[in-house]
Amino acid sequence: MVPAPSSNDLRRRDRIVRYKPYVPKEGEDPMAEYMNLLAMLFSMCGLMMRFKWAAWAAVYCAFIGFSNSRSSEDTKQIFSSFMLSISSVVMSYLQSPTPMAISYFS
Amino acid sequence: ECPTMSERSVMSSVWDFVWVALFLAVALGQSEDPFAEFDTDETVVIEPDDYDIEVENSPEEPVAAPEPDSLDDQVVIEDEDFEGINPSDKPPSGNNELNIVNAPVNMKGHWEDYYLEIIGLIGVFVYALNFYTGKSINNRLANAWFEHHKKLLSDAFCIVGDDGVSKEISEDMLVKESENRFVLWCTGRLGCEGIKIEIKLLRRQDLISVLSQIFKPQSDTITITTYLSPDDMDSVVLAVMPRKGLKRLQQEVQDLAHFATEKKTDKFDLPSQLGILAEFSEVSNEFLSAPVCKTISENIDVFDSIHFSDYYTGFKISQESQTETERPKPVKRLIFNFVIPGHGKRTKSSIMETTEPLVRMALHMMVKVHKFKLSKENKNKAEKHRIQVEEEYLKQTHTQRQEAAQARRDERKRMEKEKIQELDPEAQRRYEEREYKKSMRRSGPRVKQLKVKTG
Repeated sequence: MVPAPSSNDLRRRDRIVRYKPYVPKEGEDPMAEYMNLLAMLFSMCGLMMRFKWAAWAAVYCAFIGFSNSRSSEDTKQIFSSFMLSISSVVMSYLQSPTPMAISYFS
Repeated sequence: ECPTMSERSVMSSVWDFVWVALFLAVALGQSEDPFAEFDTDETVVIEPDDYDIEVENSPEEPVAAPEPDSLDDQVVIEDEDFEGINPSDKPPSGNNELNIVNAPVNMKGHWEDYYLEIIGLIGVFVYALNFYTGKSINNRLANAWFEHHKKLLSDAFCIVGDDGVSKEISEDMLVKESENRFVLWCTGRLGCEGIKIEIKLLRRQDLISVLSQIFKPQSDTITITTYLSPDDMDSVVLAVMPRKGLKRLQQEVQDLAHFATEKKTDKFDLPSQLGILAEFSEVSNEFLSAPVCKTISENIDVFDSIHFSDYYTGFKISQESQTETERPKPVKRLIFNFVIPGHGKRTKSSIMETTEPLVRMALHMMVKVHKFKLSKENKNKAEKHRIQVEEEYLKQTHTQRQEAAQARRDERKRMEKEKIQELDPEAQRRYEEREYKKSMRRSGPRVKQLKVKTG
């Protein structure tokens, strides 16, 4: 075993330096940023062209973006991408309540 | 519960709201069909039971337009349909073709068609389930590491766990950077400004990363970065790392590329898979002492790499971002990388205790770095190296700084011209005269103004 640090106490109150929280740069965490962007795109596509699969993909991307986000990121952006994707699901089902299966596989 | 959960509790309340919105959306979808009363009466009388069996007779088929004459004799006119219209009036027989209203599909009794939506909902539910379990495992592991090493760290540092946000120095705060990254800052010790311990766990909360873990197994890592002030450390460059990535890292990490050369490892009883890069063999002999080598070889499955550098400027800037004129300022750092064994599969809290001997060794080496003084001639060589690198860097960025200055000058000139255009011609003429005089004076012969002192 490595000998314990030398017996005399090395703690110095005068050498205390505050922690500067690390501000991540832009390209730090690609997964979260891409997922949020994808969520926005899919929900737009779901709302405009009423593609139900796009709306569902938007919900998934928003969720993945949320789980990979840094807690320092403001929750508004995550919340807005969630709301957008859920609204696109609701809208696409309100306008044409046909199940997704019928319109593609029947 | 660790106080950092506070911001997460905000998130969970957001979460509940999200779930309510989701269920509301689904419920809305099943509401009573608003267009029920527009169901046109089937001309053919359909018994209710065969309606259920033949699916292809489903209502969304457009209603076949019956021929006009067959409609007249079968339509049964009830009296109450025509209240208020005098009975003698005959229905206008002229326009009796039927305008087809494309009423949306009647949704009653067709749940099995929505199997894709059900799969989608189940998928979201499974993801949420994995999110909560992964998040709790990560929290438990990070706190287990912190609890286990708290005694060792509080003996070595005045402050353990300052989050840097609150006004006065906080204690015992494991900063949560994301669901799988935690940071612990300890400060108040001789020989260093402080150490930043980063607990980088796997993304257990994200189902996609869990799946990609199956193909490309990674492991949880602990990185201890010691921040040193300029006079805490002599000019030392040393790295001990697995031989596999040694060549690549030697090119990528700038200070290793400039100063370090590969050293033979047979002198030290280190495991064979480790390679040594150092500026002088004196440095490697000093720091890779017997106890240190013993600890490393005993915990080789936890040890990853060590990197001491007094000229640390991070990784080499890739070529295309060369426009970034200044690279980060050289700083003094000691970097220790440890790996939690088991490739992320073993998530019992006790697994986090395997790094303790290596953390103890790191503290021990920090003391040695503080006490170490390079020999005279090595010191001069090292200084020469650094000055040479500094000059080379300045020469390299000189051209860029030149271009940047030139660009700024052009920019200013262009702005002035634009400003002049706006002025009226008369002011423009005066401005041009002034410009002309100024350039004449600048290019004219150098006349020294002589002041003659009278009397």
